[in-house]
Amino acid sequence: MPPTIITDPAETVSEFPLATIETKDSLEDEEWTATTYLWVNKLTRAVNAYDEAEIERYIGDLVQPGTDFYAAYPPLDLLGKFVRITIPQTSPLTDIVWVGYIIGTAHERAAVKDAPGPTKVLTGRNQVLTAVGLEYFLDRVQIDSAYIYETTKINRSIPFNGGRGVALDPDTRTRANRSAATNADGVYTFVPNDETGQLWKLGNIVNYLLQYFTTRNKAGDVAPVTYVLDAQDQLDAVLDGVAPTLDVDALTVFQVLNKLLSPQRGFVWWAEWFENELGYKVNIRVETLATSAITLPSTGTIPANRDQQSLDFDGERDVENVITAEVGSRIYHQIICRGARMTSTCTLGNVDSETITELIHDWADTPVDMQAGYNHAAADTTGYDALAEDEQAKRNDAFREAETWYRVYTAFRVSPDWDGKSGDGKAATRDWTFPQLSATGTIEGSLVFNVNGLRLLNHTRLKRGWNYADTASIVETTPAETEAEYMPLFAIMQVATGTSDKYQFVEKMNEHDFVEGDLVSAKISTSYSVRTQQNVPGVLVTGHGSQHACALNHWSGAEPTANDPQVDYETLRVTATLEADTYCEARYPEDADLPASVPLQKLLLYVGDEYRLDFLAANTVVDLNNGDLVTTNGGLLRDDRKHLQDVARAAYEWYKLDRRPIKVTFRQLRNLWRLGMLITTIGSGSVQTNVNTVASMITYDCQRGTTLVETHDSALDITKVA
Amino acid sequence: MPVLTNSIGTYEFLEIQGAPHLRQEQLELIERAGVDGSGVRKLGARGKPFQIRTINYETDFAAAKSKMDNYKALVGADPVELIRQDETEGTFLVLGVIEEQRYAIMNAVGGLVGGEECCHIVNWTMLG
Repeated sequence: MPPTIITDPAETVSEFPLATIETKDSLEDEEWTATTYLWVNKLTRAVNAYDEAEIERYIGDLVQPGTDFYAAYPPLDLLGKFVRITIPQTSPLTDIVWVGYIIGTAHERAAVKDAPGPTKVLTGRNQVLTAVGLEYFLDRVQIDSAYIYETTKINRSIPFNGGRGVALDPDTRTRANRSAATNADGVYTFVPNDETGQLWKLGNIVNYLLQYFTTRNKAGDVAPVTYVLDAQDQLDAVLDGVAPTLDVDALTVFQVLNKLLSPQRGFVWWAEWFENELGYKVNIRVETLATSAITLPSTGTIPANRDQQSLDFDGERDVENVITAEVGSRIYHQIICRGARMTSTCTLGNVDSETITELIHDWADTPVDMQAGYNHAAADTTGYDALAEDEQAKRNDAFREAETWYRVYTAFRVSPDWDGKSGDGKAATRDWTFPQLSATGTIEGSLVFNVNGLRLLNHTRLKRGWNYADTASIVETTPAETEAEYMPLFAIMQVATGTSDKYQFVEKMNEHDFVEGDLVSAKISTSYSVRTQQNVPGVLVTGHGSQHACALNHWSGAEPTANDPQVDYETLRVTATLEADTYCEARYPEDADLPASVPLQKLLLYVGDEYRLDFLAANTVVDLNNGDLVTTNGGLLRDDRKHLQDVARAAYEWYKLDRRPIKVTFRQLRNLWRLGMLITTIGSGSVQTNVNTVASMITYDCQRGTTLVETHDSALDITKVA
Repeated sequence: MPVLTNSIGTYEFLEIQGAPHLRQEQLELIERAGVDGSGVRKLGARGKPFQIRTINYETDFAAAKSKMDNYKALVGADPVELIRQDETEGTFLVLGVIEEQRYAIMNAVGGLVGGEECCHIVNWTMLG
């Protein structure tokens, strides 16, 4: 633990430390040049922001303080120069040394006075220079490329832990894309195609960015300074517990650091100048906001802040004022974390069954019977009766192409009366599709749902080509070096009957010889496309050519067609993934552990779709084998509820503490305060107050001789951490 | 008692009234309500603007006017030495000069001082 800070200088008479200012054209220059008649107004050091110094100078014809003669002092041309500010300290404190870059100058330009001769004399008053910390240069280059192990550069960026595709992969199991080893530059890069990806940890990302995406000179050398993650921070593995997913395209390193090491993720960062006889560099320092280590769902941790201080300056006279702000308590009694909507993959069929209500046809019967109208077609048109049958068929088929009829023999939906159970879409045992699951995955009942609120996803949660017959031993068929695709929702219809019922995927309808069974019609040649309905839980099964190709057994009395029905839509079975009216969810503490007799304050966090609860209902049709159904024994495809409970617990560790931002002004300019310092309490005894916030800004007012220390509160956004 | 020198820069006077604020350490009091005791912090040695009054006899009003012009030229010039009763007080910036009065000192009998007809009184604002 760092030594306790005693703010009282314990001296009755103290010296006013006079800040000195030196400049350099380039950091490579041998010496700093002392610059007189400049003074520092304020030097502000900050986390997650530019440090800033305001430097001022009297200009014009004047007697400068400390001199006894009049002279002309024109504005100085210091724009683009480096500046070193030193605030001297008495032992044992070390001098405050800050190096920045002058990016702005402004002066009050008064009248120009005509002096004797050709020279004009400026009679301005003040020149104000603005210098920023060297983190400024981290904000001057955007990330437009990526390095693949070892040092192959491609001209697009790759999202960290975003998988191998161009887009972010929300599946936490496949997002790792870091190389297994460091390269000759000592940093990890992106994984090559022939290796298994590793997860990027925060520290890996920072080192990679500082190696390849800082400013350089024309020759390609790092300029003006090298940035490195501080050695002690690396040693303490402060950043090794978090593996974030982030797309950095077109961002600067500064922006990325502010995203990755943000208070919302539990971190702060800042830049520190380091210089000795061997050289100079800028250390990127990091610290956490946590009073104690927070264990993360990824099994990593956010370590406790290493610079925690309990301060008691209430009896010290050099404190100008102390402001503790109540910004509304952030304490919550329970954290509820929600991931994606729970899904269930199931097969629904039994179209228009009177005994098992699953799918129903979705075209109107009243007030207009659309099916009758479609079948009747052009029979009432002029001259129809005089046409030959083949001519009538042509006229009817043209009539049936109208969008008016697009739903007939095409649209199907989950019945509003569905009981919530599913099987194989026909006669197999049916069980709850959206079960109430115990912690171990056993079915305890049904979740409540509203049919019209359900949605069928375009893709199931089944990996395409895998065998799910036995969920205890799923057979994976995806090549090792590629990624599996999700299987689109699919539909099957019966094509053979008799000795054996045979089915085909509706997109692959053909007259297969299944050896067994009799084809349901002489000609089976029309295939169908399947897509979800936009606004109800249902599908559109659209026949290529004539949509009545699936109207077998429903065509009695219909007007002629050139394409007779081939299969019966009542044999349709659809395997799809439905989103439930509930989420993958966990809470901490459990309801039973909540305090009694207090108004409970609960925080609901939506942590993203990568946390999932995907259920596969028993007897769902997952494939066809020679026309026979392949069904599954069902089970959980993915259950992140424990993971989510870890997230909730991690968030609770943050939100259970009272946190207050404070502002303290000391009438001294002593090097006592450190950015990233976590102030736990102020005061003592009965007036001790919890603070638990991190020093995020230190302002040295070099004219008033005061130091303002500010801590900031921030809501931890656990969704950015986990 | 011999006549003692009173001067600002190269200009001499019969009398200089008032005293300069000499350069001295400036202190800031460090105090806090509810906390016993005080501390001070040194802010640096410097003077503060002060006013003195000079009295001199001039041969006539024109000479007084001419002197006044000369005094004004010290405003904005480098610091000048201030001597009171033969003792140098150091150098001081002249921040401003304002003539307070010039009046005749000749009567029917003759001048109080031989050959001089005008009393010239000037207020000076100076900084050490």
